[in-house]
Amino acid sequence: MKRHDLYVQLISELANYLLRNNPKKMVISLHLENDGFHIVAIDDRYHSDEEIAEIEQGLKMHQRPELASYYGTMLGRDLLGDARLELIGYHVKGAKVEKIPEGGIMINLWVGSDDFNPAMFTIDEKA
Amino acid sequence: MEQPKTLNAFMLIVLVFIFLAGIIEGGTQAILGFLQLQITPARLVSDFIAIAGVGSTLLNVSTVGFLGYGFLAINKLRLTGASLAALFTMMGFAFFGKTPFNCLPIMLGVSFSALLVRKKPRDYALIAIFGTAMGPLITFIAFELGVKSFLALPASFAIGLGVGLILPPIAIAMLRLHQGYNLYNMGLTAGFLGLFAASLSHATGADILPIEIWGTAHSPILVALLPIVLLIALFCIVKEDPKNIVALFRHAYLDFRKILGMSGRLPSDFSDFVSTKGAFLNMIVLGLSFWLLMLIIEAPFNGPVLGGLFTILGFSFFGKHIKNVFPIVLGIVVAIFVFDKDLYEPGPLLAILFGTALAPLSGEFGPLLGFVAGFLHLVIVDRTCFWHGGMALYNNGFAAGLTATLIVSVIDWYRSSKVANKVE
Repeated sequence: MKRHDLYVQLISELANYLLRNNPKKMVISLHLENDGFHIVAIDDRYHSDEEIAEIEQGLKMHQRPELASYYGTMLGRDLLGDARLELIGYHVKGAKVEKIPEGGIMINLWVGSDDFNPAMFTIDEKA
Repeated sequence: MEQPKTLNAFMLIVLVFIFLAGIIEGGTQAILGFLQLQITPARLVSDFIAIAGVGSTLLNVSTVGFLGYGFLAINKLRLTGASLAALFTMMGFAFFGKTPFNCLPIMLGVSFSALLVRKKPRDYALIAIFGTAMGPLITFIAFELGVKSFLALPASFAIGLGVGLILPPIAIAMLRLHQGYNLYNMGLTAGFLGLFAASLSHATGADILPIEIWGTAHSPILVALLPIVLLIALFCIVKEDPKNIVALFRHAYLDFRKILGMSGRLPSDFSDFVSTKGAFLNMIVLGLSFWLLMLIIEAPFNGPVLGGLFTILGFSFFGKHIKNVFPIVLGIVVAIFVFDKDLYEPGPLLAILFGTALAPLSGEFGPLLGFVAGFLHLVIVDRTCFWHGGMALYNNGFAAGLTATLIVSVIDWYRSSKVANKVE
């Protein structure tokens, strides 16, 4: 899979998830680095602590190569039915979900090769 | 994430089967029967228990299970709900079609396919294990075509490798057709490939005659097999916290309730999403329900029926639960009566067990749609086996894939058109 395809699919699945809650505002940004990339998604809808815990659990499915290369190919393509954060979780190296003062949430995703170190990203620190 | 140790109980099941094989027929007899199974036509429906006896079949089942487990271990993959579903399916079909001889070339071929596109074999490990559904094709070329062994054996191995090489792209493409609403995606893949294999065979003049070896003999040990596995599952729950059994089962029950709320759409790994004990409890409830159903209707506990029950056990970790399979089974049973089919014929009976592949449709879109899916499934599964000449073992997966594709296409079109009209 081309890197470009993975950006599109990750963003598509993430947008699918956030849009199902009918937010009035949604912002998704992509930051590229040499050995990986960082996606930030923000919405303005209220999410309970329980909901946030569920999002984190879905995103922190841990890298599962046998699932990512097979079922993970549905990522961002097959959008009938509920959005599936676990498909994102199979691909990402790190995920963080937090509430923002405006009332919504900010989802941070880091994707990269084995050498990729999410701690090197400055965006997480700024947030 | 640390591998839940209780999932390793799978190996205990394999060892119990080897033990049973030894005491039922004696070691030598079981091995001789096992060797006979390697050269026996394996196309649908070939009940290995009727062909070689209980002990030899159990030896074949445990050897195939060990092969799958070893394959995961070599690839350094931990046991999860998804891999358990694959292993139980592999073992289940070793009661009527899979042998180490016909599984190995396909697994190697899929691994080569991964290397070809610069992936690791572990990336396609699930495709390799599920992909052994094409095993009968290898046995067909090796022992049914009538070609001399020195040509047929290498040719069957080479064709097995070739099939393995092309399985991943087809499996991924098929997944997009039904969007994860058919749990046996490899059934659709194998059926699709089987169509070409059977047509090619027909074109060369080697017509494939149907096989129907369907045992009806009653054996108490075969009836007891599933409860033995379920007892091991119960032991696995208790093992998590033996000092606090009441609280443990309360938690397991709560987790089981959570599982009942899930659609089961691929990939729904219940042991990852919820908990291992909840998934084991789901396995016990689902396994026991279908075992009792088979007892009540007095179905024969032969190879294919046991295969169906084992596949249900596996997918109780990966998509099936009593709430999403019930409407499907009801739809199939009603169709059996509406079309005046014989419940005890292989087709309808196996449809009840394997048609549960459509469970996610019922889980996501409701029981009514699940009922319709089950009804349609029975109509089509009656025909599909002839299309591929029994080359693809997951015939119900093939039919379920076609049914799911039909239903998903209509729902997708209806929903997207409705939304588009609203926007306009």
